[in-house]
Amino acid sequence: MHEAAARLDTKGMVVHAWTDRLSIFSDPHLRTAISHLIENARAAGATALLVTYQIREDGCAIILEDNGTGIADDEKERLFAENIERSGHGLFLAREILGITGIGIHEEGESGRGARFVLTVPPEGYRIM
Amino acid sequence: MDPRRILIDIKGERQDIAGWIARIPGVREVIWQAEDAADLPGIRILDPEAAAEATLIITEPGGEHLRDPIDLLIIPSDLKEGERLITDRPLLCVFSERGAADAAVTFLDQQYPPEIILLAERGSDQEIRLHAPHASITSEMMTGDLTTDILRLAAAYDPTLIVLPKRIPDPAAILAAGVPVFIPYLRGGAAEVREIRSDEFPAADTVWIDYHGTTGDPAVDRIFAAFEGDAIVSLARCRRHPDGYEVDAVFTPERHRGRGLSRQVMTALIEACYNDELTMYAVVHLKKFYGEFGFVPIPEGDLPASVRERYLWAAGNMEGAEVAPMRRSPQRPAILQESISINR
Repeated sequence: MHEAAARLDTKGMVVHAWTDRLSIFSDPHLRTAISHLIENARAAGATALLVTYQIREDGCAIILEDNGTGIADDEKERLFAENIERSGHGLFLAREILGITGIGIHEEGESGRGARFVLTVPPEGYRIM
Repeated sequence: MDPRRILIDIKGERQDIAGWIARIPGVREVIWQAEDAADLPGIRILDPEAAAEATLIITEPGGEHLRDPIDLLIIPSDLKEGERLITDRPLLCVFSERGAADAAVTFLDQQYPPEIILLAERGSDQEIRLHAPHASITSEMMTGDLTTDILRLAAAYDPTLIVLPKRIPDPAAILAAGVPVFIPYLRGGAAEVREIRSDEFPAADTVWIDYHGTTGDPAVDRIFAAFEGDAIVSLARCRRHPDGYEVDAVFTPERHRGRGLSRQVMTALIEACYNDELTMYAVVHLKKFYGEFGFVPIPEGDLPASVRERYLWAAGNMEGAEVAPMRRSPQRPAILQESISINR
């Protein structure tokens, strides 16, 4: 997890990942899914992206939140749909990759203030090292 | 900038300096080498023997201490008058070299200026902005000749101070602006701030020996630290109780204080833990400090029961310190705030 979202500077966007102690059970392609989310944030004009985790009663949430333009309300629903018209199937694939190990993904940001992607990891799928 | 003990390295009659020193925040002691030291209300005057322990030197072109390995404040012969604190509206030169960039960041972390005029080398101002989320920032890029750039901005924006993290051969030309120039001494890199791993908890416990013997528990604590090399120089903890999160043990050993390390460590903690509601007992005189991170005072009864209980247990160690219960609701930290004003 940490490797996939290590602190890095992405063309003017600062990425701070506070996930050093978090270890999750996932498909090896997790890195691709996370990279896609980071790239999305940059494309939305974000100057900062935070990667954090939150321990919840039903598991662990990994939260990727940025300060870009965010996702318009009417786009949220089709965000993860397979869409042949768009150039990539990035989020559709991300959901598939994460789903292999029971990790869910949804977006709950406020349009205009930034995107907030939440990955929900089941209780048996994570450990704090 | 640590102005607790200032060495005055100025020759000749300078009646204007005493009034100007009153505009430097945090001055406690002054070592005055001239024959007749000026009267400085609330500030202790030390004998010249204390010179070796100065934290800052106020000097002038040709000054005896101009090359000392310590932060310098060089003042012009023709000092502009003013009322504001000298740290209120700095003209901050930002260079891309690591050490110089760190010095600029350290200045912001310590002084928290409400207004900043940035003069940055291309691409080096991004990180700076993150360290002054609430400041009103005017930003320009360096064009080539540093002195010309500085004089132009000084004339246009009337800064209270020029912060120049670089020793330059001839500071006199810049002093023509009538504004004092702060030249931080560049030490070998700034502190690294990160969350510590479970196997590093014992090292944190060792530092906390001087803080009520606090110890961390990897099962429920997240600990954030500033490191200098391998040594921990500042700490803060976020503990998960069954009924809520508590921030405590924010601690910097005495010899590392005055550099804004606690602010950096708290910034890290808030970035990592902003999704949860955080509570604390703040020492009363630090209410404003924690307010910067979004903590607001609350009635004691609103604290989670485990936090209250732990305090009752620890109260014996607090020696009657006045504390204020505070809470931070889940909200985005400063780094994600978009309201950073940019003028180009």
